[in-house]
Amino acid sequence: MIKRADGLLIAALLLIAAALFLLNSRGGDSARGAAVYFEDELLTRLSLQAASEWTWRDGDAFVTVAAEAGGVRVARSSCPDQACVRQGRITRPGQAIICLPNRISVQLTDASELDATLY
Amino acid sequence: MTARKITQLALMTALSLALAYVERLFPLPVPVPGVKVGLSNLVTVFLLYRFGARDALVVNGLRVVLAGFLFGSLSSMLYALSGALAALIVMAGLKRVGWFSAMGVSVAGSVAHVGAQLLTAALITHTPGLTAYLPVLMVSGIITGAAIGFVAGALIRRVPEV
Repeated sequence: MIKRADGLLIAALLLIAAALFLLNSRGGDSARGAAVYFEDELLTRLSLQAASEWTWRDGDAFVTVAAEAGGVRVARSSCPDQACVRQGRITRPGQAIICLPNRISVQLTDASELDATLY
Repeated sequence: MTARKITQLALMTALSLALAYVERLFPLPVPVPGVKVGLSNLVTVFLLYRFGARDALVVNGLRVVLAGFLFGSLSSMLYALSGALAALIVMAGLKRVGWFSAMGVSVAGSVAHVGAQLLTAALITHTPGLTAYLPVLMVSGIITGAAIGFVAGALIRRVPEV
């Protein structure tokens, strides 16, 4: 028993989703660095111009972040669901990978946020 | 609450929990975190129409907590609770308004669930960038919500009153 209002609701929600998508796409592909956080505490910044790996450990828990040219991903993690690993690679500023059980987040920043990169 | 009602709601809770478990056996091949089919919502929508918002809330809350202890973690339970609460408020509200069928109510609930969960995660982990996933999650919510709502509507109409 589908009603007309249902269709209107779905259409409205799709429009909102499309609008949000367009708003977010303004970022562009200029990701230059990644920042790894434990909750809101900054752990480290990684440059995306050279391949590197960095691992956070706390007891038995660990998250290994792999930075490659232009992108970053979670290579290995101790979490049970592995959603962060399965998410794969992110490449655009504003995107993020989160490991909820370990409370680790990896966020991409664009060039303007890094003053200098040392490694 | 009569013994009859306790039994009925307990059965619904068990069913909801079983559906939540089954859902976990088939992870969707989409690389976006948080995309779920939401099979347990079938029970929630059914309860909403046949028993009322309060009973739906109790069963849903129980299921989220139980599923959290059995398959998840304390933090995942927190996010799931926020999503479930938001979904129920939206669904009960829309049902009251009366313009929508079970499908529309389910779609709204699905989107509310996914949206609230994402916003909670973004707030707690201080990652505003997470909201970039909102459009994808909304669309998946609309699709799954419509499918679940369609089935729920059929169940509401055809399952005989006990």
